[in-house]
Amino acid sequence: MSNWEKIVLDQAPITRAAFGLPGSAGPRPIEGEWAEITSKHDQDAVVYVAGAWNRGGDHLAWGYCAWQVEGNEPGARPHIALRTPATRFERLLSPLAHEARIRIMQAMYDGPKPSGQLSAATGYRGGNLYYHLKELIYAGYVTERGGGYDLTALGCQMLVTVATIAQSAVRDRGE
Amino acid sequence: MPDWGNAPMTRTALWESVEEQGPSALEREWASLLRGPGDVIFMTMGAFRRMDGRHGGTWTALSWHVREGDKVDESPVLAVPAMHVERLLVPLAHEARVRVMQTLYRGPRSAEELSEATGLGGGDLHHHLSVLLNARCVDERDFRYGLTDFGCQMLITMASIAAMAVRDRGEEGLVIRGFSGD
Repeated sequence: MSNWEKIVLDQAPITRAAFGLPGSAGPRPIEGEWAEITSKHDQDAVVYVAGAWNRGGDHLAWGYCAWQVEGNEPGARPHIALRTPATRFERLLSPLAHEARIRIMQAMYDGPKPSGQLSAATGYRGGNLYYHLKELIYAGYVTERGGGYDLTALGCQMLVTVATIAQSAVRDRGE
Repeated sequence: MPDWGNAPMTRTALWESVEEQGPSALEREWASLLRGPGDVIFMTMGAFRRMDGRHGGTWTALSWHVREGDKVDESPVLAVPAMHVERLLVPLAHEARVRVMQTLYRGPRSAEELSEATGLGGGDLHHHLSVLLNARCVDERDFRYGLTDFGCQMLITMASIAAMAVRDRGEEGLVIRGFSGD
């Protein structure tokens, strides 16, 4: 049994009620409710993104819920999937859509690193490493701190987010 | 506003988040489970119905890395090969491709219709369509292109993350209702 299964079983009644036991197969209990909520109109959608993390002793939790269950009635807001300008996707995701940058961010995940250690961990050196660091700093995902480089809160949240989705996408598509 | 009255689990676990009244019971429970630096719990879930009204889908993706005593599971954030993340993001990290996906969210389109809706010409449009087809965000049937369920999920998920990140850009982080615990 993994740590998480034991923790959910012993200490997390809300998580257990909504998601079932970690190892169980099939849709999570709460997915049934959401299928019902989105069954009224074409293009209904509900999405929830949440996380909690501890970094350097600080606890932080965040969550965001958006829904679109108004159908296409007059006065309905533009759909979740459509009201976010496409340029905003590009600004958020293009700095992260490189294997090298994800490896650099993974190397900082357990704390700030001087550039020498980033080179050793990733194999990227000199101008190549600094080019990627500069792009990550410009995007607000990395910052210089204490003679080294560190993930910002946003960088940490984005890394956790895209890594989780990448992992589940690979699993779902049977790769 | 959805009829959350028929959703007792959602009300118990997520109500405060839905109402934007602060961290939800679920988020507070997670913060209480964290033991030390590096611990993380993350989840995204959603449900959607397609334009044709006949079918929809739900999804959840959950990551956790929580220590118990001396025992620490491998961090899922570090276990994911960076190449998989690149492959996931490349289709969505481009403004023109997102416009193609947003057009297809309304329903299947021919290449001509897509070109008219997005303003992308032949070669450009076909390049972007081939990236989206390879990533299985889009499929093609009888010369009409459509979003796959996976493409819908990715568009909805990344749209909410983009909305959230921009709203919070002034602060450091994606934190909508973040709180420092203990």
